[in-house]
Amino acid sequence: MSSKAWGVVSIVLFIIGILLGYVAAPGKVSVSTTTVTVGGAGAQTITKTVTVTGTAAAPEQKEYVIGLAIAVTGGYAVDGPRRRNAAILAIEEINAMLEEAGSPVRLKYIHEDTKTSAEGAIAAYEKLASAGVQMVVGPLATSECKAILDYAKSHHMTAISPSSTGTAAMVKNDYCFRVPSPDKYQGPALAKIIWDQGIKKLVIMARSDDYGKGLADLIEENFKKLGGQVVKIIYDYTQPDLSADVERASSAVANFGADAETGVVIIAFDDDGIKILEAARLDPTLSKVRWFGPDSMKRATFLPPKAKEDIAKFLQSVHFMATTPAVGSKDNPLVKEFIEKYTKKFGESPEASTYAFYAYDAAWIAGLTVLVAHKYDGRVFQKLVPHIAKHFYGVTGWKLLDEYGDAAVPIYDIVAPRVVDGKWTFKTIGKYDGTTKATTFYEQP
Amino acid sequence: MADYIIESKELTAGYGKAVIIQDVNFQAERGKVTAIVGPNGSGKSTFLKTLFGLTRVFNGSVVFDGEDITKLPPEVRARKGLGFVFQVNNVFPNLTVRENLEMGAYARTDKEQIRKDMGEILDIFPILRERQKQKAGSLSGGERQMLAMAMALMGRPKLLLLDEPAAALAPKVVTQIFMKIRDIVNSGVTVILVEQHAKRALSFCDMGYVFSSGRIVMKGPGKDLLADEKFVEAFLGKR
Amino acid sequence: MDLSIPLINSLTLGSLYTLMALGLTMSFSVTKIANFAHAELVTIGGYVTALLVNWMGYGLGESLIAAFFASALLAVAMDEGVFKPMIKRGSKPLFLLVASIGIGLVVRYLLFIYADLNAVITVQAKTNVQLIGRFGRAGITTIHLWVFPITIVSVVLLHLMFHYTKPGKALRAMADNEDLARVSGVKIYTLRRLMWFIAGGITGVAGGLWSAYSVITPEIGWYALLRIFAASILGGLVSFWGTIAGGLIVGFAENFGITFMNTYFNVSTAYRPLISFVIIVIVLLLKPTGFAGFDIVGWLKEKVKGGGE
Repeated sequence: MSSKAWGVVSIVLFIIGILLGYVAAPGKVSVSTTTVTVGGAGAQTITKTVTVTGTAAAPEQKEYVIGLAIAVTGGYAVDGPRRRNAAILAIEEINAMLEEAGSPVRLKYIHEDTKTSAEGAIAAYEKLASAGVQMVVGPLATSECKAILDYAKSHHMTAISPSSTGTAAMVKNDYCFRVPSPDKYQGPALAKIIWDQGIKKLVIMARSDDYGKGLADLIEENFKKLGGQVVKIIYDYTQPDLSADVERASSAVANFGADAETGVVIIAFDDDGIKILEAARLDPTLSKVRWFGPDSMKRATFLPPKAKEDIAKFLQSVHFMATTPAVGSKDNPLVKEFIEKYTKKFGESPEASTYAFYAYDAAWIAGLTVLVAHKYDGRVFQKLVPHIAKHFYGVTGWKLLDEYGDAAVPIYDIVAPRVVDGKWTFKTIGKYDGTTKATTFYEQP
Repeated sequence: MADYIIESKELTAGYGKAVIIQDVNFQAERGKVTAIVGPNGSGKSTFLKTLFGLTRVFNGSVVFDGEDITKLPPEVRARKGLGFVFQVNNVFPNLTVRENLEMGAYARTDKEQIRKDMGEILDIFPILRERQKQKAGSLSGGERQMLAMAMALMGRPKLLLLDEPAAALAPKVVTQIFMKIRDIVNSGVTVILVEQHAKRALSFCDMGYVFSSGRIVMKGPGKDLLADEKFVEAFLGKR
Repeated sequence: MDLSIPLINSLTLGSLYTLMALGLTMSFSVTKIANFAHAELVTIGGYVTALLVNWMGYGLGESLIAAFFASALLAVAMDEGVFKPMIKRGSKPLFLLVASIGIGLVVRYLLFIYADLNAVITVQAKTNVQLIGRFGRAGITTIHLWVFPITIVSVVLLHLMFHYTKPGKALRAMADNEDLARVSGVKIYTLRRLMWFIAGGITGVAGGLWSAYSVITPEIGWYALLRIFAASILGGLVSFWGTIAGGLIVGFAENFGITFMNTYFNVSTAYRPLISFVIIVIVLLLKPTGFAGFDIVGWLKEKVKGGGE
């Protein structure tokens, strides 16, 4: 047979095949498979396959995608996976809710690791954009949010960050919304809390990124307004060794007299934080004064079993306390349910990370926005998010947004390292209400 | 038949892909001095290195003391009784003179004998005894050459390869060096000598080979070569 | 201005950099490979130590011995697996340098994957480090009792090896002139293996000490590499005592230098790495032979231009 004849035969067979397939198929089948690697000790892989089968005549079957641009490596190697898991839980809850209600709409997520870096965040957004995603939960850090601002705007991708609080990403009418109260509120809060503790002279050690520098400036400005003195040390967090920076802090504290009126604020992430604390605990001067920190210091990284017990003991000995965007109290049924479901699914309590709570709320807001919009378009989402948020009360409270698209109700928990039931944890020992500027302590700091 | 300590057969060798010497058939008689002369770039040094396994052999073989050593690496040849004195870079400049001599005896294990030999060698080269603790890099050219030879002798070689031992040395030192070589030969070591200065080499040696463009072009007893008009015309120039 | 803290910091870091740089100097002087994968020897040593201490409950001493062997074997494997075959095929030193960067990337990212899966991207060896005394305002801690003696003992042992043992002298001879060493009967490949083993080992121990001193990540060696090269280049990349001086100078320059510039000129400590860069540039520009002997720039020019024999 000639090659021409073979060609004709194959085309005919192809067409027959298509027809047969069309007739034989019970209906439209869509399969989505999502593979998620869950970090933490003893990593495991969860593969979830959702097979949705409908008939050709069924009402329109819709599936909306939500991107998760959440770092799971780099500075967020430990905390990132917890936040991502919380977001996944929210999306699955929404799907369960829709399925139970008989709605044909479903949500699907795609996760991209932003690697805790500006470049990584942009790369993740590019990948999500090429998949057609217009609603994203993440990125986490302020530097990452700042990096994607333009890209998100030009590609109509609405971003809801679960944890960025830095001033650098405080932009009006942008596509990036932030569900925790930004540092605009935290800086003054921390300055006031510290001042109320009788501290008059403050040494601030801050990492040299947008979050660290922005927050350090805010604390400095507000602390000086209250009448205090401030020395600010901005350290390069990429350095393998930070002993020279700790030495500067030690000298500054010594110059201040290292007395009861001298305090240190540390604004660090995981590894730079440990480097500083490990050196500081062995420094006779720095271990004599009070220490404070913002939300980034409330991490399991600084407590056993992740960290040496000596570091936790040091933090306790310097009466360390940190502000952290408040999460609803455990008595709140919403919070209780979230903690139970999360613990059951991931084998760890979300209380290890404040921002897991925020990621959960961020994902719910993202999901609700997409469902309400009924049109998969980032421009629509961007206009809707403030309204949805305004009417949303989640595990982190009321999510009213301000003119910058950031959570407008600043309430901070004050946490301190404590041993509870034989385990080190950051226990909530007080609350700061930004509306009244009043601090309430449940126990002695 | 003469007793040859080393022989090369149809030896073709060079570096990388470049062939430098071709089809070299060479013999050196035990206990004698064999000289290799020829113009610059004629391949005489390359040939000497090939005998020690420091080049790439494309074809042919090298037989030492009745054993085919063509495929053996230099360090093994050294252990079999070959010694080599390079033309340049022939000492370890950052090691002391004494350490250099110890390195010469590196392959040997007879500690007692090494100590004895060390004494003897230092007797032969008294200048080295004075400079024992000094770094070899601080020696003068002549002293270095002496040290290089002394090192080679510390290895108690059966066959010593000398690559231009007198190059760039003052005439007075050259005479000294050649006297030392004579002593070495008299002690029973076979010597193969590569020399730029053909007249000096040929009058010194028992047997001479003339290299040109990577091949042997003439051979014969040194004195015969020097008497050969064709040789004198081609390589020494008319006087 | 109280200088006790910078002094102690300088000595601690200087000691660690010295240990790391000695390994680099050894491997460079003998093989003439500017080994960028040297960084990974630090990192592997650090991880082996941290994980043995944290997961297996080993003491720091035992873990450091394990770190020695782990990095030693990695160093030997690098040479046997990559460098040696390349050299036998006639690779130029420049290619070997590029290959070493490649090895470094592979090891580093494999370690990243491992660390990610096991949640140890940042990890610290949980050894018991306590304050045991004071020197001015500086605290003397148990980690200093590990770092200083190990550095001193290593330096003394290496010195004894290089000057009073046969393999040690042969290594120095190889560093001087490999061909001459071969014709003297030195089994150069056996000795190379020994050299990589020791050089890798002490570098691994330095990494292990770092994991107890501070925090490590899979990039710790890569970050330290600049200092390691600076220290080694101060010694001309080949000098033993030059490298020790180099390590201490880098340690002192980075601490005293930055404290001084920060106090008087308000220069941020973030510019600390600049000091090492400046050291490298100045040495290469003004005195390419370092403190001792080896003309790095000339050597590089020659090797990059000419085919190399």
